[in-house]
Amino acid sequence: METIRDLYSPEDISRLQRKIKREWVWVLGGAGLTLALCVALCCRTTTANWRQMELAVIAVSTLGGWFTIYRRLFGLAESRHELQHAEYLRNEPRTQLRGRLGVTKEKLRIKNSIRIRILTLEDGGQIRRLKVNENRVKALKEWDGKPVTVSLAGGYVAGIGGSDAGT
Amino acid sequence: MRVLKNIVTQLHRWVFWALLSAVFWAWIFTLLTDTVPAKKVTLFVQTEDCRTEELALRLEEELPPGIKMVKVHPFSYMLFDNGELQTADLYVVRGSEMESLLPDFAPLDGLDWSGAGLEPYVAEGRTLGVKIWDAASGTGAAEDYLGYEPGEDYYLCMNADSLHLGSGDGAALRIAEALLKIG
Repeated sequence: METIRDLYSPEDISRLQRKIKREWVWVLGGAGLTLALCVALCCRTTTANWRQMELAVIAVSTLGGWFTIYRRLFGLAESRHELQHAEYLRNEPRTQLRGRLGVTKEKLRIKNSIRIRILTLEDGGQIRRLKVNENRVKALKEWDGKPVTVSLAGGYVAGIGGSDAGT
Repeated sequence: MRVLKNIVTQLHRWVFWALLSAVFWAWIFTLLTDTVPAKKVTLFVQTEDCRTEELALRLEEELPPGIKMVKVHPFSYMLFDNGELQTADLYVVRGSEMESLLPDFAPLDGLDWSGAGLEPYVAEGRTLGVKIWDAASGTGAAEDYLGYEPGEDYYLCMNADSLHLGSGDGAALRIAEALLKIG
């Protein structure tokens, strides 16, 4: 009998936790390096070069700040949202549904949460719309158009297997 | 593609950060490139043009003890509003305006300007200025740095309220001498 494969294994959760630590290094490292460079340039400022130094410091601060903000918004925050989502899926009670899976191009973005892709599950003419973390869509592509059993937690796809899985 | 999309969706943040960064560092540089009046000598010049930074650098070549910088400001009537004009140490003013400004000036006691071959401005028996630019002969000091108006004499004077007069550390006198020596 085929089993339902979880979208997030314990290894995936460990990987996300490691990724969050790495992102903190990027964010704090980026901010620290930017500040250090700006302070170093300030220390080298003289009456003769202050205009060039001011422009250089503003450029370094702006670019370094953009990098740091980008990593904070799209690296760290997204990883944290994904980890929260993964832990939520693992802890929520699950239900199972069967049908033919369809991976759509429709996307949703909930503020301060993960990016969502809409899936369809067709069972005897009835089409259900399901949600899945967009970062996990790749793992579902192999099932696109095939009969599957999906495991749902709080309306999100938490696991998937063949049509006879979980019976 | 996703990176580009992320950047576009947060455009307001990038613009805000760039503005914040520019304003913050401009403020920091204002603090960095200035110091308290006790540690600087400020010169206001009433000439048409002035190469302020070059002149400040030249005058900073031999700073008197205790002085960290020389600030050179082009003269503007707006300066009357913010009080900076009143706290300056040295002025280069037009000869035609000397009379109206005399009450603000200190006698040039202790200033060694004789070597420069320039004539003093004497009022009520006190030397309140020294001619730094003679329009008739077209000679004077710091011609490369100060854009003197044609037909106008200029005088170097000292603020009576300066912290750096002879009774103080005398730094204004030393900077004035350095200015007069610039050919």
